[in-house]
Amino acid sequence: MMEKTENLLLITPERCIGCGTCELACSIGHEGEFRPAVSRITVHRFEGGVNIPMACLQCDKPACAAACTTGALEKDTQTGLVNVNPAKCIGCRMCVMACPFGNVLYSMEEKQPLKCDHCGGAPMCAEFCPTNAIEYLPADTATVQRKKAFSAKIAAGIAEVEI
Amino acid sequence: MIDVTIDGRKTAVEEGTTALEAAKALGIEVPTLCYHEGLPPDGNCRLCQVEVVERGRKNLVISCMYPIRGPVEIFTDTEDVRRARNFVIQLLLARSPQSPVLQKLAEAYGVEPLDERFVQKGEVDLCIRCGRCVRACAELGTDCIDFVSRGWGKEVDTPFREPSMDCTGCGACAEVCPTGAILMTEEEGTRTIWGRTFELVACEMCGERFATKEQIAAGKPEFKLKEGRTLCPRCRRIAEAKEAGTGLGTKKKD
Repeated sequence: MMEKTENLLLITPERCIGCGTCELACSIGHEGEFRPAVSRITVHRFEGGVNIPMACLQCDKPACAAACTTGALEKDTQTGLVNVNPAKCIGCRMCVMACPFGNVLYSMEEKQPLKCDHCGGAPMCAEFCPTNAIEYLPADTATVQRKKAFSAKIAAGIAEVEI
Repeated sequence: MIDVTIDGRKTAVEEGTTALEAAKALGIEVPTLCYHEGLPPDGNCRLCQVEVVERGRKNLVISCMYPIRGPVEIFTDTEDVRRARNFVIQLLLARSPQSPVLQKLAEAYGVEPLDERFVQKGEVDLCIRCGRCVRACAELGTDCIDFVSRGWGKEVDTPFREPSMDCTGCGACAEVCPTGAILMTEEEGTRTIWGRTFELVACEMCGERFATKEQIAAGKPEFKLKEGRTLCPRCRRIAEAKEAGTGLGTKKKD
């Protein structure tokens, strides 16, 4: 169940043109360089002009946080985000193994997991998306419904995971 | 809450907060090697020493292991503190003169190397016996490395110095090592650490060998197969994206 008052990162794949601006915005925002490899959001491009940007869904019952033994990954019930505390990470990479969506990466250089953190309240990907395929909207009923519709497709087959 | 003063700055902390945590919360830098926020403190490296004044008595304490129980004044950079840290670095450096991390610290604290006779020669030994790796492995529940022997012969190893059957090859020990003493090597689809060579599992989509069989088996929550296939995180994401894109697009899918 979604019960947050904060904003949500909403992805509408129908609007995505696969330009990859979000990946560049994300990597420059987090790492200070244009490098999609360290971007927390990835656009997957398929045949027929289908482009799907994928980023952490900030699950209500996050498998990554459940796998973390040191508390480096924790669900913040206030903001709804699954937060990373890099200082607590010991590099076991169980979060990477655990995420059913493959949305957590591990950076050997920085010794920490890379995942979407909504840029602390002003997501760069949403700001620079030219077609509004990625939006940062208040978590009202309508937004939650749209987010659920997107998540439901992904979650089909992973019934145990609550998004 | 207890009132404490750190380097002249007043703050209030919960009882039991360590001197190191209190200093860090104020943004005061205290050098550490064995301290790791995700692991229980162990006080092994002795580098984080600070001066505590309690009821008029002055003491050098190991800040990561010093819980604040009453109003105290803490100094993190006095002459005594610097001298104590200087000595610790000198001893650490005598064992691992090649360690870049220690060399940097020695430079910052103006450490003169110990008399040549006391400096370890020959074999490069970067391990400072801080026990971060031991604590990391214990935290993960695998518990397959610990200190063995005593005194100068003390070192970290697996039980009976034989390849551990409980090791999952996750490499957390190597990741937390402050001096890079633990080597994990990967070649031709295998990963070697602590004398054991692991076969890496290949992703059934892209073929990348991404994890050991033991790592996947140890997953809690359980490692999820995707349509019965073992996929690496990147391919898992692609597969999920594909599912989300079903029914979209101009071309008809067959």
